[in-house]
Amino acid sequence: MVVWSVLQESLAYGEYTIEGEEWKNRVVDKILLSIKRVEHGKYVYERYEGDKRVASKFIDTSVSDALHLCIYPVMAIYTPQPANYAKHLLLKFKDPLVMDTKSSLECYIKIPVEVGIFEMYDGRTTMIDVFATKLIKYALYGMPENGVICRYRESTVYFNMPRAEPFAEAVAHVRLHNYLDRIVTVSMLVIPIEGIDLYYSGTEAMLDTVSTIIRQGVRNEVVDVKVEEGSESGWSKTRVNPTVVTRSYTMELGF
Amino acid sequence: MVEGIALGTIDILGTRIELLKILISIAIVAVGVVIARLVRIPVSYFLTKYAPQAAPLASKVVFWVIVGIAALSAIGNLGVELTGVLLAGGIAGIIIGFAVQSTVANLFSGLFMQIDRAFRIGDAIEVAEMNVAGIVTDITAFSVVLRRFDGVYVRIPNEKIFTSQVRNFGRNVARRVEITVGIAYKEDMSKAIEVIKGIVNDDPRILAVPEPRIMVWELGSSSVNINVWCWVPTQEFFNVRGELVKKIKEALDANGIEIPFQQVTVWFGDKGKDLGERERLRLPSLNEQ
Repeated sequence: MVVWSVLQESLAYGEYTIEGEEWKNRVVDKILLSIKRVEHGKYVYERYEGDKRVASKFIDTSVSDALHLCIYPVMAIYTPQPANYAKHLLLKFKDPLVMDTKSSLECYIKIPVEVGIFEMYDGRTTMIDVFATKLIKYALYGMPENGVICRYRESTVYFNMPRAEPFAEAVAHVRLHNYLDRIVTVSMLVIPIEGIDLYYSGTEAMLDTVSTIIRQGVRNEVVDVKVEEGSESGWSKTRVNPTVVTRSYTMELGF
Repeated sequence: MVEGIALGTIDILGTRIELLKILISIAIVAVGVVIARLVRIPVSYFLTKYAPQAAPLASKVVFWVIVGIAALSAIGNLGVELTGVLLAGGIAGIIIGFAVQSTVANLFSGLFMQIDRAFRIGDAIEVAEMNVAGIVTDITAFSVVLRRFDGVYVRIPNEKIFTSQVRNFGRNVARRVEITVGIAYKEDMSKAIEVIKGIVNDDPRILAVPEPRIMVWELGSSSVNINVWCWVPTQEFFNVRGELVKKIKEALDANGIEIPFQQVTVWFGDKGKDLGERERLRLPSLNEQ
């Protein structure tokens, strides 16, 4: 855990102890985070976009004078608040994947993330603020009467691990299996993202392996998408303490 | 009153009834109650899952119908003549039926509505025939309670809702915002479309899929009308609708694109024909003639 008491030049994901009078840092060029200690164990958190203050919180640490802060990448389900009704990510491939019959394929994609600011106490975290550094759109998977509202992002398919844009993206390793007796074209994936922890290293973020199986369902061809648990090693894991975790989803409305 | 017990019989209001039959009748009622309770469990479970509002009432009805049948069977077992009871009950039923006709209609409409599931508590609906719209706050056995958008409490009998056309604004996960923007004939349509497209693309709540559609729709009397159709999550419909109009107006103003007022050219028939162009432009002076 890093102890900060002076202004920092470079910000990264991680867990920090703030003991100084004032702490300021830029997440990206336009977003500035500021924490000021007003008295013993009492802090004011502020977030600025340009010159405009867009969020502020009063934090009472009660037990100790120091503020234990976590800056984590979080799944893109929190902003714009309070519209947190999307629990899935619709990822459209810029170049659709054509898969041979009974074949497997491994690739990487980039998914959007948001930045979560948490206060940590006794190993548990409480969200103070969350924001996105890039515009994240929504999309409808399916029809209005039976579809699902998802967060939306177009991504290139990479066959070597790409670098994710700091504080905006995470990389996900995708494993696809085509169990059908025909060649299929996959142009999108719907990935469950509710309550799923990400991994981080410096300013980069990563998701667990996304395993997908294309198979014949009861009525039509479907894709089972599952975010495997604990598949990434060597990276630090965020501790967001979600109440609900959804790791699997079956795409029945086309792929 | 019980007057005496002798040789396994009991005298109730002058009728001698065997003790064994009484015990059997009690057993019939007891078994009936047990069966009613057992039946009520799956009925209640099923209704709670598929028609939660009707579950408490319907499960009670099922329970008491079974208990009632058991009670009648028990009375029959005692040798009591039921014909008179049933006849009296039938006549009473007809009278009560007429008296509570609308109540029963509401009750059954309520049950059918639960099966139909046209709306749920919390949905925003409009009952077309009654010209009432609001948020559904309660669905009872006899009525639906709405909180109109202006906050007024409205109770509508189930029968009226069941036979009316109901528009549910919150049933689907997404709705389409439709805005018509009129720009002056002299303006560059392509530029206006690009400006509007920028506004639409910058709003995270406007869905990327289905793709927003911005198109020149008609050549109006005073303006070239551009239609903006974009899908949004249902929860955001009113917020986006209001903000989008404002943002489009501001963006068009900032880009110097005119949104014209309604314009009307008035021609004064034959009198106008006789005048030259210069004179027609001076029409107000005709009033002086």
